[in-house]
This record gives sequence, C-alpha cells and structure tokens, in this order.
Amino acid sequence: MNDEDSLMQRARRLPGEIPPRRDLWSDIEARLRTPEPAASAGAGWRWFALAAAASVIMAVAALTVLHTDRQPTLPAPAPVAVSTDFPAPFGPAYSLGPQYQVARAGLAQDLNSRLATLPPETRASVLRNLEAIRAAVAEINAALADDPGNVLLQQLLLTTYQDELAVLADVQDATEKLPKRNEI
Amino acid sequence: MSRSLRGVALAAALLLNAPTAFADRDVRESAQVHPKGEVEVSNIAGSVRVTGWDRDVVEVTGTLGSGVEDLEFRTEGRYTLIKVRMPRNGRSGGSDLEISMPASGRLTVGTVSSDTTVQGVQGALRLQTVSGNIETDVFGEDAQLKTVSGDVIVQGTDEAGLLTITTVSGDVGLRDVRGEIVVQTVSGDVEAESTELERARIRTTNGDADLRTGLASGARFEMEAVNGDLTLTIKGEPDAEFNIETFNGDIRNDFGPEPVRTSRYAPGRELRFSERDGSARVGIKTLNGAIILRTD
Repeated sequence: MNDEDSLMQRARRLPGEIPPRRDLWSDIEARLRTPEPAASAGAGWRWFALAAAASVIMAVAALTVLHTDRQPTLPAPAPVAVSTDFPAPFGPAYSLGPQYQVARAGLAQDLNSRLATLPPETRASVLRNLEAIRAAVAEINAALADDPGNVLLQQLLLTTYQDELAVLADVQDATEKLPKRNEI
Repeated sequence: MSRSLRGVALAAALLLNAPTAFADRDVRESAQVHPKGEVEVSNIAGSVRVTGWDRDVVEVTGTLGSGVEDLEFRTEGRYTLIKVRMPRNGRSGGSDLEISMPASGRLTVGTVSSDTTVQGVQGALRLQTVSGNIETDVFGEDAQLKTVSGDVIVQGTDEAGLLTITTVSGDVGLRDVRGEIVVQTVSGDVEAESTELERARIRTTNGDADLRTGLASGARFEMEAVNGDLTLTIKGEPDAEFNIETFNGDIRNDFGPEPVRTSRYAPGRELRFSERDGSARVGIKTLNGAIILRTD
C-alpha cells in the first residue's frame, strides 16, 4: 500500500505540460516552402533510369526466349491416348491367363504418361509399332479361328504377344532409367 | 554511383553477359582409373563418342550445350560417372562429349536423343538410347544395345561374344560378328553378315531380316517374322537340319527339296530337310513374309 501511495504522489508532482525548448514549426514551414532543384533532377533521372533498366531487362528476356527457342530440347509432354485395356485371345476358344494379364497390366500402367515424355517422332513410332503388333495378333487369331490346331500360328501368336510385352518394357525402361530433367 | 545508376549498370551487364550465360561451354576432365573399371555416361541430347585407349585414364572433352547446368565427373573405386546435368524444368541444348577410357574397361551409355559412337572398348558394353543411333565395334565380351527408334550399327572383330540388340523401329546392321546374336525388332530391318555364328535368333514383326553367315558346327539358328521377309544365305557347304515354315508366304530355296503345301485347303508351305550330317539346326518361320534360303 505504501509503495502505491508514494508512486501516486510522485505522479501528481509531474508537470501537466512541457513546452518545446524552441519553435520547431517555423523551421518545418521554411523547409516545406524552399524548392530543392537538385532533388527534382534526381527524381527525373531515377524515372529515366528505371525505364532504361526495364527496357534492358525486357531485351534480355526477349533474347533469352529467342535463344532458348532455337535450342534442341526434350519436347513438352503431349497428350497421348492409347488403349491398354484389351483382351488377349489365344485362338477362338482361349485367352492368355491371369499371369500374362498381370504382367501386361503392370507394363502398360502409366503407358500414356510415359509415352508423353518421349520425343514426338519416337512416340509416334512406338504407337505405330504397338498398332502393328496388335494388327498381327488380330490377323493370327483370325487365322487360328479357321485352323485352331495350327502349331505355327500358335507359336507366332505367342511370340507376337511377347513382342508386345517387350515394347511395353522398352518404353518403361526408356522412360525410367534414362536421364530425365526431373530426376537430375 | 547512385542506386539508379547501379541498377542500369547491372541490367546492362546482364544484357552484355547474356550470350555467355547461354552459350556452349567447353569441358575437360580426367582421372586415373582401374583398367577394368566401369564407365557410365549419361547425356540427354547431342552426341557421345567413346574411344578405348591403352592408358588407365578416363578423359572427357567436349562442349556442354547452352543451358546445361554442368558436367558431373566422379570416380569411386572402379566406377566412373560422366553425367551431363540438366536444369530442372529448364531448356537446354545438346552436349557433345568425347571420352577416352581404358580399352579393357566396361562401358554403359544412356541417352535420349544423343547419337552414341564407341570404338575400341573391349569390355562389356551396355548402350541404350531412345531415338539416337548407336554405332559401335564389339569384341569378345557381351554387348547389349537397345534403342526405340534409333538405328544400330555394329562392326565385329571376328571374336565370339554375345550380342543382344533390341529396337522397336530402328534398323540393325551387323558385320563380322561371331558367337551368338539375338536381335529383336518390331518394324526395323535387320542386315547381318558374319564369317560364322554359333547361335542366332532374329525376330521381327514387320521388319525384313537378311542374315549371311557360315554355320558353326552344332549351330542353332532361329529366324521368325509375322509380315517381314526373311533371308538366310549360308556361306560354305551347309551342314544342318532345316525346319522352314510359312503360313501364307513363299519359300524360295536354291538348295534342298521343293517346299510342300501344309494342307490342301490352307496356303501354308513347309520345307524340312537335312544336309550332310545335319549338325546345325535352322528354323525359319513367318506368317505372311517370304522365306529365302540360299548358299553363297
């Protein structure tokens, strides 16, 4: 209690108003009215300099775009759509078993996104060749429908399916193991 | 100098330095290595040329393409990595690398569109590219060459080894190879020439294959195509058992008996016969492609 009373008494003894030791306003007013020629010239130069810097930076950017556009680079991923879900008939009455289907499904997984990372000509080539393999499969199956016991056709069909797996594996290999920007 | 002036100077410096920031850069690295060590090269675009020499040193010279980050060159034990590092999500030009390495070392090259040329490397080779071409010579060690759309050219040295080549659409050319060859392609054409082979397996879907070789004693040859034409030219007197069959193509042979129809109702033809002791075995099969068998 005594401490609090003492503090209050000391606060009451403080002056209510402290006048400035000199008149500050007259100095401030004088500085506001006085023109500053050097400062104005600096502001103009600053604007000019900023504009020049902006134009130089734009020129650098333009040069960069022009320069890099001329460089050989990997193509940007392009949309690709190839069906990876189709049956694997083996003659008129059979189809390849679940183990093959699992193997193919595994290799065909993300095929479209993998193909999209390949150079355009290579991508087109892979698609053409997958199509050729599937056409061969269809052709051999059609022949097997007429001659189900033909051993040559059965052998060719089996190896053609293996070819398809090999291409799918090659695409996976090429897009996984080879150097890519994202992993460097 | 005021802050504004410094800004302009900086921008001007950027402009002046822009050509060097994006220009090609020369590189030169070298290291002492084990003579039978492995060298791995990775370069997305440009070219890779590797030469085997008689020094226990790996040396890289060449030019890094514009925008390339740098060349990673490091040796750990028997392993040496030479890798062109690309900027993340950036654009960059192709890099051309000239590499010399111990001739007895092993080599692995991985590229996307770089052409790969290898000369005088006698250790095992594993060369892989997506769309680049591969040109190499091979010795007695195994070589595995793989492309998607690039062509493969191999010059052998008449030393027996295992040569495995896989392409999707790339063509394959082999010369003076010995031992065993395995070639698989979907639409690429295959042309192979050898003094003598022990094993050959050539498989195409739509590509043509032309193999010209002598048959080693006890050799095993298999050639197969769906729509491609297959030609086997045997050097010297054939000593083999032949099993040739086509579902819908022609068989043309300049030795052995005439091919026969496989069925009165089907177009297929077959040709089965043996020459001399029948030491080697030759099997050739197509769906629609023609089969040509001849001697040289």
